[in-house]
Amino acid sequence: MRVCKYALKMAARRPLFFLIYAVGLSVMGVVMALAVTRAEPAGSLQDVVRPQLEWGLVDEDRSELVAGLIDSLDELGPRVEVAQDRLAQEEAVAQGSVDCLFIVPAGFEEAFLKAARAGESLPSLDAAYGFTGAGGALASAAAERWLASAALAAAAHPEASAAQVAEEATRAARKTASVELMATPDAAEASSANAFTFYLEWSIYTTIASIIACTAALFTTFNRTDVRRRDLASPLTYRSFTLQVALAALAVTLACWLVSTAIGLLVFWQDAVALGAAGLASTLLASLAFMLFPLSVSFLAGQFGVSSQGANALGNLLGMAISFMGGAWISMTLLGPEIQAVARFTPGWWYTNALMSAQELAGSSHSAAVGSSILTDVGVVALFSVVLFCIALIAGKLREQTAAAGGNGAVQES
Amino acid sequence: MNESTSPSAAVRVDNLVKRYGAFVAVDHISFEIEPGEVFGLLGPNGSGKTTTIDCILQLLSYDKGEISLFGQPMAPTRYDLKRRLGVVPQNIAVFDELTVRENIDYFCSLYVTDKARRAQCVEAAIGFCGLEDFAAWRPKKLSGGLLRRLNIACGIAHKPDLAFFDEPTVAVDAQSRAQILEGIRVMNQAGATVVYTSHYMEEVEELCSRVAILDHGHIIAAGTVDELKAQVKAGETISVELPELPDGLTQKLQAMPQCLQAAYKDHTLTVRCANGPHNLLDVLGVVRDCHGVPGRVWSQPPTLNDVFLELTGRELRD
Repeated sequence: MRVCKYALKMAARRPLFFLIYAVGLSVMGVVMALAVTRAEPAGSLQDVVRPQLEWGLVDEDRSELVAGLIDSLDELGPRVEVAQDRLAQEEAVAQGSVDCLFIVPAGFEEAFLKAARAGESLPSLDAAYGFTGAGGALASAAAERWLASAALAAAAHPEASAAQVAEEATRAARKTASVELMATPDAAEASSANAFTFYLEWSIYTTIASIIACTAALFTTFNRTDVRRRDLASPLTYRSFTLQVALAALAVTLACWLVSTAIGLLVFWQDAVALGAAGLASTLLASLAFMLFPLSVSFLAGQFGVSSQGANALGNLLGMAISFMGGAWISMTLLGPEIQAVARFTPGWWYTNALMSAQELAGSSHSAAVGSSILTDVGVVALFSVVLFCIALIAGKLREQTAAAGGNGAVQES
Repeated sequence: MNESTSPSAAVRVDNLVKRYGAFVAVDHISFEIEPGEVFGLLGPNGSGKTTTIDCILQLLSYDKGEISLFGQPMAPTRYDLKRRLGVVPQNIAVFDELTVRENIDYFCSLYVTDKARRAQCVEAAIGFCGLEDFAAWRPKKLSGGLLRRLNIACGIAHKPDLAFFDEPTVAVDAQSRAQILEGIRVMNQAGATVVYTSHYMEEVEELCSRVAILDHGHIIAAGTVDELKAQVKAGETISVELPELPDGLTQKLQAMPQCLQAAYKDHTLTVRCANGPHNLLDVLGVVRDCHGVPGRVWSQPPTLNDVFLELTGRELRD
């Protein structure tokens, strides 16, 4: 077991990857889980406060149509008196005394009704507002909407007076559609999510990146051609050597898992307790099974002689891909059916399924069925690792037959 | 060393062939190394020395031939034979993360499982290679010479019966080189058989009892150093410092019956002569006849480089 012992010693002397990935990313996971699961839930429609807009109007027309417009604008907020002086008007807009200033030219009503009834383009209402807030644009849009309603009323009733047109436009403008505020699936899930489970889901990236980065450094060190040649020339068997290095890598993997899980349990212990004993046990079992996946990937990369930097990049990319495909970052319900179908071929999907099921375990009356579902998910996750380990062993045997791996003679044992 | 008293050859290589595609790296090589010998494999880079050793160690499979160690056929799974071997590779093969002592202990542990015996072996190797003051150092802090010594300590700490040294003095200062060669000599005197590869003929001449010269995967000559030197026509090489080369001097020298070659380069006249009683006087006489003004004059007996030159037409270090 000297190889294993020295492998662990070497891992302990290179704590940088461990600190950056296992500790650093776990802390980031805590922040993410706190931000999402402790966020204020979405409010009701009654909570929406309509802004009070201050508006001014320079009325050179003094017509009944404009009077109707003024009545409509009064509902937005108080009217501010603005002097007739052009400089004063510009100053009022520039200094924000009014959100929006309307200027109605003389003869507006007559031109407006005539154009509306003839189907020609309507005379425009001058509106001036600043760009420091959205209030001016909102008031301008409200005025345009009222005038559009007035144009429709005038066209529909050619004999109607200006006062009748204004009355009709005001009535139409007051009609509102029935609105119901609905939470998005993400928000709904987040507000009800168990923070510990969410943390573990987010930790898919942490787990993959940290374990691959930390263990690949070991595999790379021991697979270096020059030292590997010495090992191959020695009486140490290929099987014993591989097992000892793999054992050391498993210990490093467990350390990454322990740190990441302990941080989660420490911060979200109330949520962890809320899962119940069976739920918590299932969650931990699932995460334990999942950690074997990056270990097997790292083992495979090591057999192919991937460098430490290469494995590092692989860990990051794979971590992101599996997190995405597992629905850790975006709910799978928001993704297309094709993505969902592909996701089933990744361990992240089965892992998050197991975590979701573990949440249901506490209050479920069908705990046996849920438990069985969790075990299936965990089994599939473990299967991914077993398959990769087998591929890695075969690849390792084949690669030992190349000079780059240190020689090709010493692996011909049965 | 182990208590083995096998009467058989420590190493027997018979008709070994190793190909890399169409390239034949080792071409029907055969040789034997007796127990207690220091056997040299001499040849230029790419001549097949390391490939031959890799085949003996079963690090490379080979296309043809038989290899036996201590009278028993060698195979990748002959861990009993591997246990008696020590390997000092050409490249520094140590772990940067471990200290000098830990590195030696790690590689020793591949051979020696008993903790107490291993501790003794490690301390002995540290002393043997003069690394006492650096035992707690990491390899990155060591100089090139110390790294070479660590590389050797890792290969011989378990006290092998048969040690392979593959160019152990490459890029090493003169002092470290002398220490390394002395260490190998001491090992050999303690009973270990040594296989030493190098392209430094001086080292091989100094250290090895028998030598095989390799070129392009073939053994072109083998025997003791004296036997090899006796194979060549050159008796001595006479060098004469001459500020200027007189007209017709080299032609007159080449006309001498004992002269094999005469050349003038960098103000030095070099004359290779066959064995004879008055070579130096005869050469100086011709120089004087041509009104040459000789400076320093020296004569060298034939070297392994002369052997290689005569056999291949090339310098050993070409």
